[in-house]
Amino acid sequence: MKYRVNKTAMIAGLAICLTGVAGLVQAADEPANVIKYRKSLMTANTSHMGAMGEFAKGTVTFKGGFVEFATAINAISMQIPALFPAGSNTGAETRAKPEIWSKRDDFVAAAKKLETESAKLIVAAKGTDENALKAQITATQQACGGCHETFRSR
Amino acid sequence: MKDGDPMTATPANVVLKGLASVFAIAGAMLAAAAPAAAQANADAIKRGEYIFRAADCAPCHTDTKNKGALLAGGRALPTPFGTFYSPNITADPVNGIGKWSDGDFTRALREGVSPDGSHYFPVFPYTSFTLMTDQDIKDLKAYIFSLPTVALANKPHDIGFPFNLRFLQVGWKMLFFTEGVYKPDPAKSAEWNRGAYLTEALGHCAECHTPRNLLGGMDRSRWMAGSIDGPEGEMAPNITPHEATGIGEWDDIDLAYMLKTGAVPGGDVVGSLMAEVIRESTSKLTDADRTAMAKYLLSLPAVDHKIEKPR
Repeated sequence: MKYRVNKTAMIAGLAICLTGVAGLVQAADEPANVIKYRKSLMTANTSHMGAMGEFAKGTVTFKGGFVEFATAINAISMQIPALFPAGSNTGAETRAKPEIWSKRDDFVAAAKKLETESAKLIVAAKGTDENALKAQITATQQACGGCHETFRSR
Repeated sequence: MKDGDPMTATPANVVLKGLASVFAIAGAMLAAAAPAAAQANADAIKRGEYIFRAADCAPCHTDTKNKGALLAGGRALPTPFGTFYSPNITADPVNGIGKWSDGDFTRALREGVSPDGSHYFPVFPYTSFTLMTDQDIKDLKAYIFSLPTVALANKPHDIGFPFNLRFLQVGWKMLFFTEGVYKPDPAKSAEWNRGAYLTEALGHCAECHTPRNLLGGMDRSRWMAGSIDGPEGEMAPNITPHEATGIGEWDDIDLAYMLKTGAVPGGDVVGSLMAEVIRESTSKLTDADRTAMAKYLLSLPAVDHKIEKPR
């Protein structure tokens, strides 16, 4: 019995150690790779928003997949604060401004705004009111700009 | 009727009645005039608010970064010549412009001259506001004077010699400033002229989007063709309809939508100072005005001028 308890404790201990190591590895991602990763996600947002923006302008009538596009943007929006860990301000070409780290609460709030507006966009995309959908696409784009204004150059 | 009845038409009564009528009419006129004046002022304030938005006064005259009060000034405006601090333009009589007459205010915008006769530095875009109509200038003042006053003293500019010498501005103006209200081009449509007025006079887009020479004068041969050293060290893109280096692939719908939302074709949403312009100014305009601006900008000569930071 005694041996078995010890073995369980050992396994549990090992598991904790491994989790800790995994956490350390994640925190130690190279800044250049972090920048590459987050740029890919921002590009995803750009492409989804850009396509929906054409619908909002009234120049195309496509709206297939808008629920999924909005859902993707919503999922990415929740990752934004984690995509900008301390130290990821250099290492590769980035337009991230120092305010991301010096005004962290404002930055998190700006990302949260995109989460809120994209959640409303999912609802609007599921609905049948095209004007409401157009207005919510605009509101979501303004949430993008609201963050870029303070936290991104250009 | 009995003698002494007030209604008896004796000569004296007629005079009295006449006087009473005159007073009654005068009183009624006065009573009517007061609300009419108040209404006229309310209308001016309402029009002025739109001008205030279109001219984007708030961002430069408010130190938003440090949670400063609206129009109380103090925003740092870094330029190649040093850092300017915007003045308080609330109607505070001591620190702001509360004592200014309509004439003072018009002169400041039209001529770039303060009430005490000194010349403004062109960081204040009187070079564009000179094109504004008298009516718009008066309405703008009415709106600014309807806002809360703030007793905040102005911060002196931090600029080096010799650029700090205000009298040199006389020479600068001779070289680079043309005074005068916008003259509509009769050969163009009303929409085009409206777009030109909004873009050049109120929006003062050229101030950032036109490259400047060593003395800070705008290069008129490359109007709106972008600048690598725009405000706050940012690049201002080429917004002429040049296919490769400007916005030649955009149409007026794209540009009007960008002015509303910040979203450019392809989906990126502009940041930094242009995001501020959109939030404070162009997103508050009517769709018709944004479309007029877009059509005007796309009618400008395409200038081949690639805006790229040297690496």
